[in-house]
Amino acid sequence: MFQRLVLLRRFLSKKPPKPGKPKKSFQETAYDLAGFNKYGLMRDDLLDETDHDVQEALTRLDPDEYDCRVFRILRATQLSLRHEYLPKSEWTKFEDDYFYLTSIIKELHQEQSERKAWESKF
Amino acid sequence: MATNLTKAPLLRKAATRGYSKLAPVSGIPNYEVKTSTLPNKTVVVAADNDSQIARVSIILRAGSRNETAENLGITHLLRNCAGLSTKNASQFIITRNIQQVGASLTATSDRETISYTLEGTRSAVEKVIPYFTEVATQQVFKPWEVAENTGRLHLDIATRPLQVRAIDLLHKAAFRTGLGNSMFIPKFHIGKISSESLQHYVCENFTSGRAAVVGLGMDEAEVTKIAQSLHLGSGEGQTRPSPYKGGEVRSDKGGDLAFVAIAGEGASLANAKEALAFAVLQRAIGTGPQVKWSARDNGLLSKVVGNAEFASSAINANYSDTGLFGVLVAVPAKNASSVVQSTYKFMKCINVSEEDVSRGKNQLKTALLLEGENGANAIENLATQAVLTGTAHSATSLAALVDSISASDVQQAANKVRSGKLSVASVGNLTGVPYMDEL
Repeated sequence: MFQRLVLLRRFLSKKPPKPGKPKKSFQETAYDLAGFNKYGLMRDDLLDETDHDVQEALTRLDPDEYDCRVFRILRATQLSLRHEYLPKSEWTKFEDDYFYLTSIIKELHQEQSERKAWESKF
Repeated sequence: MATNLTKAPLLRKAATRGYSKLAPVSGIPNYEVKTSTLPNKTVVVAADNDSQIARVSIILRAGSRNETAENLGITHLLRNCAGLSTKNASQFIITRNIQQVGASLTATSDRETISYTLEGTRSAVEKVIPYFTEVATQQVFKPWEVAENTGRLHLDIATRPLQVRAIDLLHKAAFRTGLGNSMFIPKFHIGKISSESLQHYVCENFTSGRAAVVGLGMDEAEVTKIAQSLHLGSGEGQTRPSPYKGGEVRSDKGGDLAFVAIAGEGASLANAKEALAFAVLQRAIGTGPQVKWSARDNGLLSKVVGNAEFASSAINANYSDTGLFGVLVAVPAKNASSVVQSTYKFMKCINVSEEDVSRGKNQLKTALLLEGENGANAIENLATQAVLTGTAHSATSLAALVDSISASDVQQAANKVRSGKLSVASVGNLTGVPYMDEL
């Protein structure tokens, strides 16, 4: 189940569509199909915490944002154990989901490539 | 046989000419100081001393006197944050690039100013100027980088010698707020100052009207170019006045020694003549032994206190609107009472003779010139003058000005201290140190 979520997350890691679109986009449909939003999770909540970059990014995360992440994951675990979903009104909406961690990870990768470029020079 | 070669007159001549062409490493001492002001009110000072070493300083009126109760200690954190990631360059790239060319970047701050200085060979400085201006004006204060700096704040506080503590507390007693703010962060604020506060402080105080760019060993056009390229907010902001108030602060820290600083109001930088008169008075009172391994200077204070076991130095601090003048004594706790009493009495009746004044003038001239010989000190002096008064004088011209100080100027300075209210700050083992009202 979790692996499927992760695979789908990868597929969904694209920018949300422009606002004002009447029809559900393919991306939105896929987002709803993935199902993690039924647990109240966001896409970045699914990132693997055993990964070094993710660990480093989490230390840089705004403390409030970090607390929200922990809350969402705990709630999802609890729900999963009880074989339940959140009431539909509380599901994460596609337009409310944002990449709070991916942006930091991208910055980290940039720093790493900068370091690598320097070390290949000197 | 080789030695005979140099005996040929032609070769000898060539050799001498070759050597004399090289300017001394530290540059020529009597360089011309060129001062100008940009339309945005940034002061530009350039002094080309033909040295192989170039130094450039960006200095801003953003020292600890601008702190408020909420952000007390922010300038300490700010100077420790020099070199962290900026808008366009990461910490890694900044440090590596500056190291690679062999330059050195430092940040220092005092009660009125904070300055960023880059030094190195001329070509090195030229190469890393963009990183230097980034560090000084384009800070972003990434929260995790600022948080990693906390250890250094603890270290700075723990390694403060008691002498420094005494001077810090003396300012607290004399000015209370403003100039009374410490240059070190109070322990209760470590880890409490956020990146947003830092950014706000920088936005408010790092403006073009509060800045000066100073180059030593660089020509005027180069320095002006750097000053013009700075991205600083406009305006001059406001520096709250910090009048002298006077009082007493004690901090019992135990140990064997007591450090006691006693001072009254001194001269402001705005009045150059009075400031120099106070500097002469400082030397006349004595700034510690002038001969290595000797225990005592032959200043006025040593003569008054007599044979007791103690060490002393006169203090003279000049700020843009006021000053502080006094003495700092270090004394074993058991003798503290008598030494502090006679020092306080001395401050209440300072009297200088003609001989004291001429000794003071001689010592001051030597001190100014010796200090000016060192490029790092020279640029610091030029920068402070430039940002606080709008003009700058080299050590050589300041030393020449000392001659114009008369004995009556110095006596007037002594009178100002004698008749004013005194402040006392003591730190260390205070069992024997009398309170101010007992003196």
